[in-house]
Amino acid sequence: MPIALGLEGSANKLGIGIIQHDDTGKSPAKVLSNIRDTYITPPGQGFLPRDTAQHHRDCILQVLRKAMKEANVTPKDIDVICFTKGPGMGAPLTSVAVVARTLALMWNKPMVGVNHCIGHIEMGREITGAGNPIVLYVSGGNTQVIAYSQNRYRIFGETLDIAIGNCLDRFARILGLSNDPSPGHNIEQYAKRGKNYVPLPYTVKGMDVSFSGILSHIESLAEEQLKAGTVTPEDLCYSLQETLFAMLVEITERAMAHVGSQEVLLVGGVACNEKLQEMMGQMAEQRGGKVFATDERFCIDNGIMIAQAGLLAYSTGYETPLEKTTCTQRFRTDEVYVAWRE
Amino acid sequence: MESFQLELHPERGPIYISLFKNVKNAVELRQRLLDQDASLAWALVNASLVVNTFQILLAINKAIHKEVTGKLKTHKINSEIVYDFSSTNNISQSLRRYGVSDDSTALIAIAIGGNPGDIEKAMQADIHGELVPLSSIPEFSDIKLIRKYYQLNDNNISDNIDELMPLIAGAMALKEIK
Amino acid sequence: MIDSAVLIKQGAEARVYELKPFLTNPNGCIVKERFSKTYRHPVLDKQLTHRRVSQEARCLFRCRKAGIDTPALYLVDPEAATIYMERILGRILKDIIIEGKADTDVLADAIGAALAKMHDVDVVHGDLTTSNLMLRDNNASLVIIDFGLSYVSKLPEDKAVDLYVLERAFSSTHPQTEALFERILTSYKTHCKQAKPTLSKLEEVRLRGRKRSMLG
Repeated sequence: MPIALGLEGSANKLGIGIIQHDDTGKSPAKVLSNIRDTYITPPGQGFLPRDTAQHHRDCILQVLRKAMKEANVTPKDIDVICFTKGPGMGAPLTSVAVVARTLALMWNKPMVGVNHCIGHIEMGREITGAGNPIVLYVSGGNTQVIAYSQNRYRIFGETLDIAIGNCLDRFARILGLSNDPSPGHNIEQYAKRGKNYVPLPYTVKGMDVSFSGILSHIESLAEEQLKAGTVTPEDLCYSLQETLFAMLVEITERAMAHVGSQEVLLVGGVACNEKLQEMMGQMAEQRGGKVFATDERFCIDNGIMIAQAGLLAYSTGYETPLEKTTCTQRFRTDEVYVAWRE
Repeated sequence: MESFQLELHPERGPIYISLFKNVKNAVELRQRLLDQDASLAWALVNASLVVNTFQILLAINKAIHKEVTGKLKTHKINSEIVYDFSSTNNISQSLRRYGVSDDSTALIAIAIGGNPGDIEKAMQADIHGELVPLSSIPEFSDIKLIRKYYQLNDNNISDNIDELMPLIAGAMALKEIK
Repeated sequence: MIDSAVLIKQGAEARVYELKPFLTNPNGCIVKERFSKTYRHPVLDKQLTHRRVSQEARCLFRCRKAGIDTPALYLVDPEAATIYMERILGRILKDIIIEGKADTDVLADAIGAALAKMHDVDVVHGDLTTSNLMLRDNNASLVIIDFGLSYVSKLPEDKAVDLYVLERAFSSTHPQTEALFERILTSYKTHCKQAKPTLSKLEEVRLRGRKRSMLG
């Protein structure tokens, strides 16, 4: 029963997880441990690559020890070490890859470099049991509608400019909301108290979306109308979520109609937003489909998803030789050959 | 006279359409319309702005659909039918162009519901002209004027009815769409 | 919807029916009825639906008038969010390409020419896929359908995104068809009066696509 250790640090979360697969493939994977430490910046500030890498370096050994202890495993139990190859921020990615490489050399283990997005998708499938869903991958750096076909996760729709999470985070910064536990979470709480819907631009092009125009529009709305007292921050958060999520649900539904799928899987940090899950559920209900989502343990960046995707690849005989264990900031989801699926 | 069914509103009964040529009493008919003479129970359309039966049915269909959904712009269904031939929202101009004028000689009369025998007789009593089949509509079509009124003057558009008709249909359908 | 209409497609935002015959036309017509989305805020829903019905009808007509083969408009009912239009007797391109019998070069040339004409009258389709292109049975004319997301814009950026959407539809639905898309662009370039700014924008949009996946 193979065991994989996964290390993730492509953005401001450092995560290490340990997963065990059943050889026969009959029972679901066992999550032995899943530890995360988030780099939280002061309100109004984003995270910079250098500081984030420093955070990861500072806490990685502690997180590793905790993960090993909770899983109750020793190095000899581990079959493969998986790490995030990309996409993500360069410095944080490298800071984690260095540790992964060191462990592999020290413990004499093979390595697998994992595409972060594939990690999200495979973990989501494993946890929810969704078979062949349309995947909506929404996070701080990505917004993609994905469907599997012929050994690749193909991108049917995506953002034409900034990612959904980035849009929400930047608006949270304008309002000066806290980054703890995350700016998106705080937007969600504000939105729950919003009452008035303020119309915003709505930009869907085919299965693609665009957010930057909406962000600049609501920025100037905030500037003019918050001071004047004609709208509240809560109303703006509410309207922003209503608009952005409607766009996401629309392109997801369009992809479902296009490929004839009835399942949606939500992954990525923004996927734990309950409003988004609720709206997606309403859409699915209207067309007789089903939504699969995970909670924050798995949809927010974590190490276990890297272990999961890495172990799937490893089980098909794939290994990343040491000299190829580099990181890459740009790594598209459809670049990965998915050997483990039919 | 020929009769038709509207798929969208079969409950309004059959639609009767007659084409008259060599009409002698256009002046009188126009006066009766101006006087809002209720005994003149037909929509009367200037045949020179019509290319085929489909165009007539589109106008009738639109007018009846608007009547059923409470969206009439003119007061009566008969004037609404004439108005709905036009591609502009200008009611008086539309009625002037597509309705009867003093020099009209070819007219299309439209009735909604009723007994076909009675209607044909009554139409012939009102309109002093020669009843001819709808298939002879093209003999009266003034393509130049049709292109002008429907704003289809671009060089790439030919006089071919098969090419013109979809555009006429579109121009009629888009009226009142904001 | 009336009883004699037959549902032929339950799309993401509209139900499409076939109504046969229609006003003596034996081929009948297509009835496209948008429905409201329960997940959307009612204000947003109403505004979007209304805007899209009217933009769809206007763009269909604008294209047809410019000599692009599109379904003829028969009736627009904004209150019911319904458009009645010509029923095209033909097949969708997706099926034709998958079947693999057609001369794809001829198809690519026709697609490029039609898109060029459409962009020359500033219509941006908004949802170009091989499911939204058809070939007529009688004369093999290329028909552009489903203007449900279309709008009028002069911006090269919007036209470039329009092409990019099609390019991605090709790569996701018909893998290994890069050459075919390149041929579409070549034909587009020959026929479009303002191809240059649009195609250089397309380069930019593509690059943005690759650059975009920077963060996990």
